[in-house]
Amino acid sequence: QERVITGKVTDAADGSSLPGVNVKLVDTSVGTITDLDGNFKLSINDSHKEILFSYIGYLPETVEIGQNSILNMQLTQDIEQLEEVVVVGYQVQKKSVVTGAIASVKSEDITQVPIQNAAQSLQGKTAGVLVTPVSGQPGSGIDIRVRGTGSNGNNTPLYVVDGVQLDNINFLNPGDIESIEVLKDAASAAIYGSRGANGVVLVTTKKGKAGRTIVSYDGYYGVQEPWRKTPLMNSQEYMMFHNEGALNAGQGVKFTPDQMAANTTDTNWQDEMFQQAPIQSHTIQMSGGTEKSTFMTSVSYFGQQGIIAPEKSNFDRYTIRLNSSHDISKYFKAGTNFTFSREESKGINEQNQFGGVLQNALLHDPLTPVWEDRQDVIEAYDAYAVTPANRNGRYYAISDQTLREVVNPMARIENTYAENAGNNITGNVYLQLTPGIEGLTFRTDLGVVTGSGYTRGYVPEAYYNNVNQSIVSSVNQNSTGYTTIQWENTANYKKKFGKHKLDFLLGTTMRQSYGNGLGSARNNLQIPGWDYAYVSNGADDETQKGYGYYWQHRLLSFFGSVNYNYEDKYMLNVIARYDGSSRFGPNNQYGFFPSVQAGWVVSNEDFMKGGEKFNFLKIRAGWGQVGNENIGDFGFLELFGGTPSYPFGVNQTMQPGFAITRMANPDLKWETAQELNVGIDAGFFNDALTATVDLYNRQRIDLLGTKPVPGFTGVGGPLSNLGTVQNQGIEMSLTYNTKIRDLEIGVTAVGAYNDNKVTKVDNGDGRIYGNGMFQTQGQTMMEEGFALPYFWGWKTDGILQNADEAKAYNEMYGESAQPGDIRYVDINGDGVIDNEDRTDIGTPVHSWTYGLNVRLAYKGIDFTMFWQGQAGGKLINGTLRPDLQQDQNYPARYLNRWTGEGSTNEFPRFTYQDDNQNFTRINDMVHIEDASYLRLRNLQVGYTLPTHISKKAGMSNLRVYVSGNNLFTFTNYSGMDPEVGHGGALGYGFDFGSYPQARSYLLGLNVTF
Amino acid sequence: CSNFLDINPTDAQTSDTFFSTSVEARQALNGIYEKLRSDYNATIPNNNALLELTLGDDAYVGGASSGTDMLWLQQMMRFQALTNSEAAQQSWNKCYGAIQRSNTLLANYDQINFKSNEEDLKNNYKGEATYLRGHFYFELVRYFENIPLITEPLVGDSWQSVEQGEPSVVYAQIAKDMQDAIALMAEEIPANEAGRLTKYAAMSELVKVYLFYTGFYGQTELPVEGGTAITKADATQMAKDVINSGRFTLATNYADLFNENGNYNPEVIFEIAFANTGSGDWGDYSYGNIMCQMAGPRAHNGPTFAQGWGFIAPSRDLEQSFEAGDARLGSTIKYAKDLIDEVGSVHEPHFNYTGMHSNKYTTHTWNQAEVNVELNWAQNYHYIRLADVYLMAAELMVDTDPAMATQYVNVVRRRAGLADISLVSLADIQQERRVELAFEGHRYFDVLRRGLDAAKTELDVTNYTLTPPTDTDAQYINDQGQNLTGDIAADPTVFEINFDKAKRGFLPIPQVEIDLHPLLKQNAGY
Repeated sequence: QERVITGKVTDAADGSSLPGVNVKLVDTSVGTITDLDGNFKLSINDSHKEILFSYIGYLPETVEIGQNSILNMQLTQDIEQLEEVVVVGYQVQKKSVVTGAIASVKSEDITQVPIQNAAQSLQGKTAGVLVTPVSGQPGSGIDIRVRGTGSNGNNTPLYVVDGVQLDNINFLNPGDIESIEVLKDAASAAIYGSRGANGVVLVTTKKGKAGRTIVSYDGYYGVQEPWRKTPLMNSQEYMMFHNEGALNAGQGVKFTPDQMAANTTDTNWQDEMFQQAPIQSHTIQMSGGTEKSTFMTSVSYFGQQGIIAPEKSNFDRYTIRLNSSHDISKYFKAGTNFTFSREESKGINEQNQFGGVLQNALLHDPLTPVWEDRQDVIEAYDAYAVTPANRNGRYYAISDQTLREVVNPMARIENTYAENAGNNITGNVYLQLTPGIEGLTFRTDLGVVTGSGYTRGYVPEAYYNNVNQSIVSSVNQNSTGYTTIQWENTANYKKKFGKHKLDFLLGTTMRQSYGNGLGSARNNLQIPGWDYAYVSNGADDETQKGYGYYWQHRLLSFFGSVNYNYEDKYMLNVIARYDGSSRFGPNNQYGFFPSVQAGWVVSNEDFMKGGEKFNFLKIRAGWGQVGNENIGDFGFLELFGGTPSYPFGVNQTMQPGFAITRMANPDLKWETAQELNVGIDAGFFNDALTATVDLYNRQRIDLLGTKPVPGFTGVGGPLSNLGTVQNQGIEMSLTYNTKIRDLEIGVTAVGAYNDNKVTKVDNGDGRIYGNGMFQTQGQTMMEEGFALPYFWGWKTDGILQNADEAKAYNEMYGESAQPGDIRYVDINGDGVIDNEDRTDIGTPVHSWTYGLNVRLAYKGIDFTMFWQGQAGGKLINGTLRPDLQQDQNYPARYLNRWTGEGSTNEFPRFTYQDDNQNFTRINDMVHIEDASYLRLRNLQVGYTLPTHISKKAGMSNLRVYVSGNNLFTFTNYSGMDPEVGHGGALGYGFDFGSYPQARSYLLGLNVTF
Repeated sequence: CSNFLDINPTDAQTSDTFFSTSVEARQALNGIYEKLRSDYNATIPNNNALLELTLGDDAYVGGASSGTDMLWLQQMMRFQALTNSEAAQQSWNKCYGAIQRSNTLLANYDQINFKSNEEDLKNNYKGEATYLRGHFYFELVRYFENIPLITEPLVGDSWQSVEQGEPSVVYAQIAKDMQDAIALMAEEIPANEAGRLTKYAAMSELVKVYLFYTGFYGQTELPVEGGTAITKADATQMAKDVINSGRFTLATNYADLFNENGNYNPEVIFEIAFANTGSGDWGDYSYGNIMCQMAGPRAHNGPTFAQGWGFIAPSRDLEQSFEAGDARLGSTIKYAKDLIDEVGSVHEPHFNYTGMHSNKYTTHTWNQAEVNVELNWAQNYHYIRLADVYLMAAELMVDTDPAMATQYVNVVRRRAGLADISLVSLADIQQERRVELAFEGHRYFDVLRRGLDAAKTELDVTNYTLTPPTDTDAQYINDQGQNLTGDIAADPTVFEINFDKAKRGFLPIPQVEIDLHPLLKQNAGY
């Protein structure tokens, strides 16, 4: 007998109606969902006994129908589901039972500070994650080190976006991200065994929710400017300083008093170079769905122009995303996450002692004007076969000084033509099967990353000075393509036996990457100008060049984990992964990476239960191993590869040779990071205050690298397992949230200290030499017992103040120092100051990282303030050129030089005849500077319109805000910016004229419809 | 998916499969030849001739006026090379790279299938590989003296037991390699293959080896590994055989050796080839002769020379050793005055400036590339040419056949426009070698092989006084008041040189070699 039953579903807590609740007759496929007011209507017959109400975020309820024709239902929120969850790799866990050291950043934190790269959002918000922008040039990357520098090779963590393993996340729109989790400890990262040695960054993108379709817009527009300019000498100081240098060398003055008096030019090249430049971001998101199907789609644009040469240094990113998931049937669920991105960038030459724009601006004399306006000089230039750089026919001036590669920076910018573009599609498709056995799930997931890159460059003809010309123009075009296919299968089984919960996971991953590159170059562009700068327009002569290559890389992995939980009180987690890589030979193709973690939620014990002041306490510990295979291919094979050519025949026919150029290492094996981590999570005052403290010791064993071998072997050293690096440290984060009447207060502080030490270098002298500077002695070094890397240079002990001190010093060490020169420390005590006295004078890597985030909200007004800092690292301000000593401009810092007895003990005299090598031996007085800094990253004030007003305008939420970034920076570093992240592990720490971070002011809008 | 992980490189072959036909033999041989021109690896100039003239007294090391430009060369010039001298290390690495490639080719030679019509090729290639090994060992032993002798490929960790060999053993191996090679190498190489070496190059260099070994070590014979020692008579005969082969002729005009006609001039017996590929690759893939760039005057662009780095500052000592009327002076030295006259403005004085520039391997404008000029000087280096062999033969015969020795020297002198000598002495020959072969990579070793005392007498420079300018017109004076037609130095002692006998004239074993392999011992004096 058919009858109709009706009812209304409400929230048990506040009685509000619940739309979209699934109402289903048990053991049938008959069902409906509640309407906007929570009402439902359902036809039933006598065979139907029970109705199941289910709704995301609420506990499901099954109700006997009986004889009722009206059935109102109250659903209770599922506390378990509401509780914050953390992605731990293939699974999510409630935060309260997580046993690893995992830092989590949620979407509101990610977009709080306007950023160009999603990885930047980790800065200052995740204890123990050191984030350094490579430079301030728009579109440049981010250098991330999880718990210190582990390797002399690659230190980049593995990124996993919705399950797809990636090398970077530059392509992501930060607004699309739901959460970022950093698996810091090896025990947590072990589930990604093979590639987790540098830590794992898990990115989960936003998903749709059942219910009405929500459309939102987030955007800002702002202007940027340099946060400061490097203090340099002005014209008078420049001339005075050079005269002093010449006189100290026993020469006549470089500038006569007449010349000094007559000079009227004082060009501040930084003022010329820096400009205000716009930055903007716009994202439109749409999400929604039904109980069975949800979607999230977005389109975004991010555009940033540089504060130096905005038309030559800029970055644009366009993204489109579509995420969806579908319940196909009782057994199958499927979904896709896809994003397309296009990045376009242009860049200027930075971080370069030979022609970098910034270095040019810092070193170029101030006596030269920007433009050449003297008629006789212009006529002379007009007669040159290749004329100086010009803009609209007006020549850029050329210095009278001998500055070689340091040319008029504006001319350099004018003739900079370089563009890059890349398209990327990253995504995955998955099918999930729940075969009807409670707790059992299978999932197969096909991920793909494919894309292309393109670069084009053009060097026009120009005369820069008498030693620096482009006689013939040149043009190049290059393209790359890459594809990664990742196929992953997992089986998951969850079982409860009384108070015991068990969770098993088994899985495999097959991963294949391949790509190619093509490039070409020609000289002598036949139709001049950037608009025609394509290789086909160059001369079809014998100087044209081309290349093409192909590469591939494969991984095969098996992994599993068992997770045991007793009453959310005792947790035990065991993970193992077995990985094979095509980078290793048959001897050591596979690596095994186990881990074990345990946790004890003390506050769930009866003796602590119910404590209000101290409501949560968890103690956890983990030990694990993870691997790394990030090294060049085929190191295990002895290979005959191409060598440079030799020109045979009177017509110079280039014939390439073949030779073994690298020693083989058939026993090359996986690098392993082994780590012990102990942590405490605590909550006070009903979790108003939460604290997390972690202590760790990480050993990076069998470091992969090129092993130095003596030159008499005639070949390069083998790829090899080289040594051990230890990082140990402490991380802490505190969060305090409270509400005083209408005032909401949120404070989060994070801080971490890391101690880094190389404990073993497996070659003859226990050292691996790093980078240095042009015509300067000293370099970075990797050595047993020291930080990775450290600056290997000379220690100083003040300045020789007078002739007596100099004489005593010279007699003691056989030197020829003069008053005003540096007193070097004879480190090895052999009575001679020489190369053997080089020692540790600091490390470029910061040991302290910290951040403070304060949020206040009062009614509709919100205020946030975010401070971030790093400390302990040193930087070499390396823009100066020893060979241009008599012509270049100097930082104002050099004015603090020694000028006579007692004038200073902190900086040597300036002389053209630097016999004491004050400026050409890397030392802790002249070269090494403290790069510690504290920055007010962001200050933001927002106003949210009251709901009743915004609703009238058809919006559910409207917020406007003003935001300032990098408003204050406190640092003793004298260069353009203390945040310089160029170079790998051994190339770090040199500022050769790096593009500084911008200060910006933004106006932003968030609207939700 | 058991073999899912087994993928192969797409740009290289494994050593198991590489050697199969004459094609691979030739590729491997090219790999050895390539090291001859590899003199700018890691952007450290290490050209044989450049290091020779750094040590020798024909020129000073210039560079930027600060005197710190390529400091390692400045130090080497003053016999104060540090054990981590970059140029010494690069030179060492270059030679051992070539030796490793020779050893690899020779060890695998028997598994190569040459076709029946390739019998000559089979012999020639093997001969060339063997000779080049000897050549590079000779470079090593005369720069470093105490060197590891390796004649088989090093497998696995076997390098860890390598030790330095006695110099006499190394010389014996060099002599054996060259002797073996002479029997296998070609008499003549076709023009389209020019650059490959003939047996005459090996014979000429073996004479050079004989002279250096017997001279420096005070011996009468050059030992040969597993063979009969080479006597003075043998060496003399070899030199004569080269001269009498009829395959080489003195260039009529000395200048032709270093101008547009210089490459593959019929006088040259051992030529190292360079090319202008237009390449902008700094370092090992630049195919130009970096010595030219090193030599060119700084900041000068004129009709004769393009700008260079001004590292080669001809010494007054060399200038004065030319007799009046010697046609070779103009081809050897270019006066700054003439360059200034050409363009009407001064260029930039380098360190140790003497108002002179090299006119041999330098930035000749006829050779200037269109692009990437610095890296594309296609001027071949004549390592051994007939005049050198004439003078070596004369030196060997000065006591035994003075008439013939005199005749040989006069052949060379006549070309230089100089009068005959009636009866030459050893000193005449030494003087003749100096002016004939200046900047060509021989002078220092010619001095060193006379013994350490003689070397010190020749090389030391004391109480230097600056040579005043030849012209005082304003156009020769720069804005710092320096006159470019004379010596320029704030302090004349920068021109003084003190040969350090304790170092025996050799370079230090590169520090990194000893650091990585403590079995090696540092040379005396370092």
